[in-house]
Amino acid sequence: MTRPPPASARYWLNRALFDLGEPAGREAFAADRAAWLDRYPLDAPAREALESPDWLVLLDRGALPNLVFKYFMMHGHPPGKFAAIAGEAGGHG
Amino acid sequence: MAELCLGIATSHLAHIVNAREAADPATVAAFDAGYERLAATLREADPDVCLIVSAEHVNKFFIDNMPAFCMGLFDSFSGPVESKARDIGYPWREVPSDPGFARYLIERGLDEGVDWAVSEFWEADHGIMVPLHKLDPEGRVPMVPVFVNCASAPMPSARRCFAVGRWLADAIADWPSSRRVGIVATGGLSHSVGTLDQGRIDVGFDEWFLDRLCAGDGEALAGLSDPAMMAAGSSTGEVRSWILLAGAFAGRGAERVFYAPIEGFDTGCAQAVYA
Repeated sequence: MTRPPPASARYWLNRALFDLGEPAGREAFAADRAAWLDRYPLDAPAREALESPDWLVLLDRGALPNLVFKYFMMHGHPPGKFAAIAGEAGGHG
Repeated sequence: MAELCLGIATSHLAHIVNAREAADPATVAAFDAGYERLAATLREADPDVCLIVSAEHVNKFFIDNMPAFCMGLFDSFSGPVESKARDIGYPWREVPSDPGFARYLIERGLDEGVDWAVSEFWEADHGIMVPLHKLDPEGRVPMVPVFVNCASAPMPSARRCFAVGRWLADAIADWPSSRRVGIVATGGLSHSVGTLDQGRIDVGFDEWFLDRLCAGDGEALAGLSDPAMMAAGSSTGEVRSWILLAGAFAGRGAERVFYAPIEGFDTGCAQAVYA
């Protein structure tokens, strides 16, 4: 990969999540999650946290809670269960 | 000169329109009654234009260009933006605005040290659209949207929000117009979204906050630290919009209309007025 445009450490992780707010991002995510992730210069832990997904790692790496919650909802979870699901099994689910 | 005739503050969570079954019916009915009281107050005050001040939930405002405060400058805006992705139980609509009033405030602010970011296209999220759905579903009152960053640190301090509210009151009073202006502030109270604290409501914080708001204790509200707000929940900082409103009504106490820590809505839900 060519060197990504310089940005803050948390930027591209949040950018990937933010872009899911647009139809193009949602379609790319639904069609091929790996290809969707390839669009962003993510380091391995951030990519893995999005792939798993690991809610607590996402938060720990600076993902904005509002975006983490929207990503959680995209996985079909009940909105009131974030703390229960994120708190289980180290945040996977 | 224009008159600041009304202040309204309310929680803005969408559960009240699309997840009502999640909470105790009697409590939801009381929350609705609070909205009805606020809507009646708005009708009776009959302002010519309102500012609607809210947090936003990283639907529009992002960290590539995050303002502390932003004002809409257009004839109208629309929302709720969440309805583009799924059915959220209340309709998309266009809301009339007032670009003449907005331009006056923006230009004056840029001359006086309140450096508004400006948005000429705004698809609002539930922070603005749920309160408008409950308070003015027909769009009778032109609304100028005002964003306060409550979603991504660094955020404006409580003291700065209070000062911007004071500045707004002065600017409205000096507006060379005979029109009557209201301010609607939305968000809070204590809640967390997308963190392990989600579901926890900090009743102690909420009661303290409402007590100080109703006592007209601007110094206490302006003195709230970022960590104190964060300790009451990851999204509790949305009370910045209420603090801005308290600044606009500095020296006056609000009237408490409703408060309940609503389990199932995961939020300390509150409403207040300056009428």
